[in-house]
Amino acid sequence: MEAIHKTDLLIIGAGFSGMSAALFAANRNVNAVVAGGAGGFEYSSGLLDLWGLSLTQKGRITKKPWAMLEKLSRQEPGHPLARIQRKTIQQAFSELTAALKHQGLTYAGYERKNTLVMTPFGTLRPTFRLTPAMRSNAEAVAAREPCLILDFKGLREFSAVFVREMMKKAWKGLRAETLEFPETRLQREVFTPFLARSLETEQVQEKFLTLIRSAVKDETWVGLPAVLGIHSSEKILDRLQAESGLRIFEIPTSPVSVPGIRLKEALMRALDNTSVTLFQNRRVTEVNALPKGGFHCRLDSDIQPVIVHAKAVLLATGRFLSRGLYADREKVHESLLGLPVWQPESRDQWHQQAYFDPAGHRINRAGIETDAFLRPVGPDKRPVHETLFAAGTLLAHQDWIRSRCGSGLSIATAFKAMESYLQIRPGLC
Amino acid sequence: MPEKKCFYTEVLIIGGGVTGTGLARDLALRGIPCLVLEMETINAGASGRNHGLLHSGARYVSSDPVSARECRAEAEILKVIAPHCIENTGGLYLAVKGDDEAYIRLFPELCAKAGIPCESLTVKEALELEPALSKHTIAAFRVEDASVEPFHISLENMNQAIENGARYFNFCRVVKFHMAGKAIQKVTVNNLVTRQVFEIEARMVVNAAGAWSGEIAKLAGIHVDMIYSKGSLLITHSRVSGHVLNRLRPPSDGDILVPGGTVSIFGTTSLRVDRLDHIRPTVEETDILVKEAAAMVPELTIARYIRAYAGVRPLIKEKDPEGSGDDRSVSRGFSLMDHRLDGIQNFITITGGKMTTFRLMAEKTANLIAGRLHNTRECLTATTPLKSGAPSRMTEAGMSFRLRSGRDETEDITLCECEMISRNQFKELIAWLKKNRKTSDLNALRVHSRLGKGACQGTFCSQRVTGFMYDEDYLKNDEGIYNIKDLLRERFNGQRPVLWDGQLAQAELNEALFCGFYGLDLEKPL
Ligand SMILES: Cc1cc2nc3c(=O)[nH]c(=O)nc-3n(C[C@H](O)[C@H](O)[C@H](O)COP(=O)(O)OP(=O)(O)OC[C@H]3O[C@@H](n4cnc5c(N)ncnc54)[C@H](O)[C@@H]3O)c2cc1C
Ligand SMILES: Cc1cc2nc3c(=O)[nH]c(=O)nc-3n(C[C@H](O)[C@H](O)[C@H](O)COP(=O)(O)OP(=O)(O)OC[C@H]3O[C@@H](n4cnc5c(N)ncnc54)[C@H](O)[C@@H]3O)c2cc1C
Repeated sequence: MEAIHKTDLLIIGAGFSGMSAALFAANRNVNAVVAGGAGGFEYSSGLLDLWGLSLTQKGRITKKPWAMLEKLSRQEPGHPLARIQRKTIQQAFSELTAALKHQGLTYAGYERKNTLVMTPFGTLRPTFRLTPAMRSNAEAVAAREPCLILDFKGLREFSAVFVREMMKKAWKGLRAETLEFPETRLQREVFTPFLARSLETEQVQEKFLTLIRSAVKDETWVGLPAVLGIHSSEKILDRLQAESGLRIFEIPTSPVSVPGIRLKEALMRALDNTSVTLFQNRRVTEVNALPKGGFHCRLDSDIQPVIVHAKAVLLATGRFLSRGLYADREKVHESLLGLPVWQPESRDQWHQQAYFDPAGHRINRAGIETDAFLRPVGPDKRPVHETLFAAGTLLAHQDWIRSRCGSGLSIATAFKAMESYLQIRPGLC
Repeated sequence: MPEKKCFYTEVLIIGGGVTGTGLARDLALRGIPCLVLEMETINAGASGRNHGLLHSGARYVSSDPVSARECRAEAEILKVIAPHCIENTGGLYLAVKGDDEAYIRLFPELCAKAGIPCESLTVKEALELEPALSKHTIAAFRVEDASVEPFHISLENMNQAIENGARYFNFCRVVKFHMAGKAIQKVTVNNLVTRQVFEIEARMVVNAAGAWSGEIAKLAGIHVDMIYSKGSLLITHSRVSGHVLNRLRPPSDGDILVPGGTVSIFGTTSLRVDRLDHIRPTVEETDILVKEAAAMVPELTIARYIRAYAGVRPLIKEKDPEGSGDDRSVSRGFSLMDHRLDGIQNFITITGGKMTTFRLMAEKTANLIAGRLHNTRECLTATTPLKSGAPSRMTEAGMSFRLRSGRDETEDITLCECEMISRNQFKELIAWLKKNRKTSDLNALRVHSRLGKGACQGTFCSQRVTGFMYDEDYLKNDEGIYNIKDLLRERFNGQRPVLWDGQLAQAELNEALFCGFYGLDLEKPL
């Protein structure tokens, strides 16, 4: 027998846009189910970007996201972020960061400005909202005082020497050192999520403190890959700083990324005991629109499939990596419902000839076109279905990678989709 | 990298492909000092962009029986002197429904006439040997084709030459000849990395510049009529067959599938081009190949391809009134030109031919040179094992991992997961490169190993290996990110035509990481 689950709203995809939408639904007491993989989170640096690319100077970043968004709405009125009012985007960010703070992740930043954070390549990337350990990263970069960068034996994804070499020209007192992370003597390889979880115990924190103290010479700052805990990261940071008297900061790492996991787990906790049910790691394999309205959906499962009857669906299934979009040699398709996909004419136009072409690759702008309510539209520009919505990176006419707007796009469109849902809902069945 | 302003050598060889390196080995084994100049790195030209098929000769039985015989003889020699560079896969010739039956009937006869071993199989036997074959197969023959690792061959050539006194400079481009009377007196060279200009004096100058031979000859005022025939190939994500599979029909697009280690290589196309810059595989060629593939091996239409690449066949135009117009029918035999006939005493061009026959080409060329220099030592290349002390086995797909088994790995970790290359293996390779080549960048590692050549195409390994190189003091300042940028640029040229399905997803992750996160797309990432 198949279990049947009835809900008002099924959110498909538990990436950043799906989970943001789920949180907004919970805050509004909407009866909803969110189903899907966590995809993007494990890749994400955990920095919340709003907009980072300059639209006035090619190949440069910007510190002024709002000014750029204003420019965007003139230059690219079809861009999903250009279609959402600044006030709405601000609301979306505040509501999300408030919920995260409640779960122990304090995301803050400037009102109007981006902050520049150092990466493991010693490059600086602009971001909008960030955790305390990353804010210190930016402060350290700005201060350029004597600083020790640490890495750990067996950790392949991060090299302190790399950072030092890249930055040493402008930052004299930078030193690099490799330490053996507590209790990893027998391990050939170590992974950041493992280190982060082990730092959750007091005993390891103790040993870690001793280790840092012995490594520091005359430095006042210590930078290390993002491994300072998962659930109690801020408490751990406070303790380490208080007891060592040092300023300690994190450098986000490449996947699997601890700050991304923190974000995902905080959002999951925020859904506990709310009107939203999470079916984690379940793929939705079928979505059928019913003639009378609403959808009949099937969720994959090892044990038994779950059938969900939903009055509305929010599609937040991401792009190619998350399999929300699928491309064969001829065309790009939307994987679940076969929705129309806006795309360049032929495969030869998908990518520029040069990898780093500042114009960006055109395939990245392919995606789902919507109406003002974020409902996917057909060639006639009318919604494909009354109560089908789309949010996140699968939307057309944006290149979140090059413009550094991944989180902002996901949060803002999830918020907008939720508002639209609430506006349209009264007319439902 | 040379820092002096002027060098002297007995024989200057222009071009570090299989021909140039093979010639260096031959000369060095005869005790003749030589110097190889390569404008990029070993095998940057056709030698690194071919099919990797060690021809049994069967492909040429109808069009060029002389070449067929040469291939057979040379393949036999190489299997003895360089077994570690060759996978003795055997080959099949296959016809499918609709293929020319007259050609099929003629094939075994032509093979016999040219002395190429060829055994007739039943379709059932063929399908048992290779389950991936089309159910529409109508005829099958077994031949002695094999698969060869071209990088490995050329690296061994050069390394063995160096062990015997030869020298090698890469990133050095020949730009000018200084003529003195009837001879080339000096050669001007640009170091493309340091931008230094220097000169080389040599008693003999050999033009082994492959498709660029015409350009080099022009520096001496000589006209060599060349045809540039571009061929594109696709690399599958996993190996498709045990044997080399050839379509039994007159040479055409997409009729050879060569397995090598963990992958298979499918090709080729043949497209006449007028210029040698910007040779890249295109989306259109990729589609032609994928469509053709279905006839012989149906699963190739849905296979995952990790990249495409293109090379230019250096073909010498012969005055052949019956030319069919297809460049594949231009002779694959080689041309050895003694430019004394053009009035230049110390200049030789060796071009055309095949990778399979490089040793023979080198032998003939070296004979000519030795005669001129009054060196009477014999050619040793057919009997001397083609093996140096260098760690070049890592260029073989799947080899790094096999080489690791049995070693003590307690302190080692894997840096490249697609190709299973460990930190200690990179360490050895870097140390060797440092000592023997004075270079140690990411690109050199790529040439000398399978770094960046697996499914991830550099996404994970390039960051790890760069970090490791910094840790080991092989990289300084901001070199690392420029190394990575170069690697990504280079890899992208081959990925662009095969970016759909799984590889497109991989490319998205790649871009999210290197552009979105690390900011390498920016003009000034710092
Ligand atoms: C390498 C990398 C680095 C990044 N760094 C940053 C950064 O520094 N700053 C930043 O702001 N953002 C960053 N991002 C994250 C980016 O913000 C998010 O990936 C994006 O916002 C998420 O958008 P999304 O939710 O639309 O899609 P995804 O995150 O792709 O989520 C889609 C989800 O839908 C699921 N799904 C797909 N099909 C189905 C189905 N049929 N049934 C159920 N579930 C399904 C997938 O499993 C996936 O979990 C990064 C991402 C990557 C990949
Ligand atoms: C698509 C394709 C498939 C093929 N498949 C096979 C096969 O399966 N089996 C087989 O046996 N053969 C095959 N061949 C043929 C084989 O690859 C070539 O015959 C062989 O590699 C030629 O080697 P080469 O050293 O003469 O030329 P190249 O390898 O082209 O070497 C010439 C070198 O000269 C350098 N150079 C050029 N100008 C200068 C300058 N001014 N200064 C310094 N250096 C310079 C170039 O950078 C280059 O590295 C194939 C060829 C192609 C194109």
